[in-house]
Amino acid sequence: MTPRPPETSPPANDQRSYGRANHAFFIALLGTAGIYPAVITALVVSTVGYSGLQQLWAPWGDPALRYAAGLSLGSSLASGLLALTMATPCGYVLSRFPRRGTRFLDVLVYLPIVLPGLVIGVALLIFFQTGVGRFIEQHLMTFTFAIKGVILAQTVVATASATRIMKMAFDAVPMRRAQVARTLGATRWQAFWHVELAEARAGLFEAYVLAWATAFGSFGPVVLFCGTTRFRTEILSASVFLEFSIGNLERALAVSLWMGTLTGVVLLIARGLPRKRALW
Amino acid sequence: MVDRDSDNTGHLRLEGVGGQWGRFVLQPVDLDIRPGEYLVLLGPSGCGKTTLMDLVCGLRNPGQGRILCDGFDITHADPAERAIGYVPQDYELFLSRTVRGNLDFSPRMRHEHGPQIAKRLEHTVDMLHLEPLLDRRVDTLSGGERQRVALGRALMAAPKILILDEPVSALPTSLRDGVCRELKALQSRLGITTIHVSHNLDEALSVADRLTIMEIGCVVQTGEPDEILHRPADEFVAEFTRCRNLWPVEIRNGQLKMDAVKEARSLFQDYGSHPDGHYLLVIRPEHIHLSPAPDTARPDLLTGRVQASVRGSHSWMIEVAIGGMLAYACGQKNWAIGEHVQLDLREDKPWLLPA
Repeated sequence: MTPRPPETSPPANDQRSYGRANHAFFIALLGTAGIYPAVITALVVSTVGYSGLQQLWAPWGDPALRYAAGLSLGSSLASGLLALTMATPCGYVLSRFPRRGTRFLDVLVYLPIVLPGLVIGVALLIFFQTGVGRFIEQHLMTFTFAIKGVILAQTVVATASATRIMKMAFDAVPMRRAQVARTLGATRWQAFWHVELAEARAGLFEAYVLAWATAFGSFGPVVLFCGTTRFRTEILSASVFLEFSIGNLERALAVSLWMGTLTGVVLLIARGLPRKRALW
Repeated sequence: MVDRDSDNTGHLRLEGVGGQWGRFVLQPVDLDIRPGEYLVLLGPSGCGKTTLMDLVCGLRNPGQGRILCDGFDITHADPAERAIGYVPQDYELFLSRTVRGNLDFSPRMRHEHGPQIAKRLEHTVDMLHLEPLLDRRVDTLSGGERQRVALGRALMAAPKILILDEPVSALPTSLRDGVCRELKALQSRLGITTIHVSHNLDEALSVADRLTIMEIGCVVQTGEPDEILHRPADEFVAEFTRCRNLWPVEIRNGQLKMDAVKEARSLFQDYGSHPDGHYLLVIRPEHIHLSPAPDTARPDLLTGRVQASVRGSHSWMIEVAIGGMLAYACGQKNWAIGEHVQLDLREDKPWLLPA
């Protein structure tokens, strides 16, 4: 029997089947990955088409809406910062001390993500009717139906998602690295600030952007806790609701598009910022 | 280091240091590491080498015992105060800093400035050839470059003791020998007490002044390389140091008896100092020389048939069946399977372990 020559490459039909499988993967990937962006694009295009671009800036003449836009932007920027201030230590504790006690904290931090915003608003109202809440309002500062309340309600919802991001950011920094810093003479605070937080800075940035966006778009907790008083506590998402409720669909859509445009611009700027440069 | 007082510093003493963390138990460890010594802590993965080093660095609290550095009790001292430089297994360079930022991390954290620090940096950079890398981001460095930066970063803290945790395991095999030689030369030059953690015997032998062998959760033996190789404390050390000949023997009235060899007494000296009993005879494979067996069988010769041969990087390992026992010999020549060979033992009084 003639010995069979050694095969240097797989048979052609095998190569074809590998090629087909690889193409199928990319087609499936593009198909499924494209669904969600397509849905969002369809929604934006149909909304713009319905209201028309010329109507987009028409409500800008209304001083109440300009006030609402300013309040939304200012309060959400502040809420984002406050959320980050709380989310950073929370995320650190969740990442570095995965014990039973922190598992409870993990669940607790998830609640504002799961609960409807309306429930959070009501819970805030109820809290400020308790002894502690009344003491805060009488002796420290007033939150209910006030701008500070808008910031508080937005912060409560924004902190939850920022905490998840910060936890993941700290998870990506090996604990060993901070320990090495300690052997090099760093205090715990220095190791946290110069190593762990410095290396989690991409997450810090991402957490702020997400917290800001969540706060900017929040509606339920703010409306329930602070109401929608014109030139006082009305934010853009409440304006959309108010315009809808009086049947002014074009204005509601225009304000929604303001929100969308502003968020898009902020996110594009944020994504364009250099991430790798050391911040400290 | 330039400004390190190298005389009489870096004496580390562990007195009954142990503890339990989860399911892992570290039996009390007693260890005395002399100033300027290069000690290799050798053991299989998961035996507790890194845990023990964590205790020395202050990254874990021991459940019991004391750690003394130059006579001072540092058992519960802060890691920042111990003057122990630590180079972890994956180097753990600070990604948010350049090479220069990693090197001057320790002086910065300690708020140390001035010409002395600048001189130390210059010296470290020169010694480790880091000049071209200074402004590079650490995530762009190769494995060898990372290791040099991690070493430089630890040395910039002017430590009395340097701990190198598996310093070459992340490097390609082809680089390891050279890097080990450089580490040893550097340590000799600086005179710094060094603990090198490893699971690789060849790597350990290439650098160690002394070896400490760890089994799971306990230190089994500490000694100079020759002592460890030729007088292992137990079966684990013998097997871990690739001494595969552990032959069951019996001593009766100072005479050694082996089931496989009828006239074993003619092969070995008297073991008069050993009490009667069962032992394991330890002979390193490189101390057994193979030659063709004579045609006529003689009871005073150790003969057997080659059962297997395996090529190593420098020699052949030949497995020989002698009666019901296996012997391993190391040599430059390969032998055919089934060949009848004579085993000449190059030790006339091999080490005995209690069976």
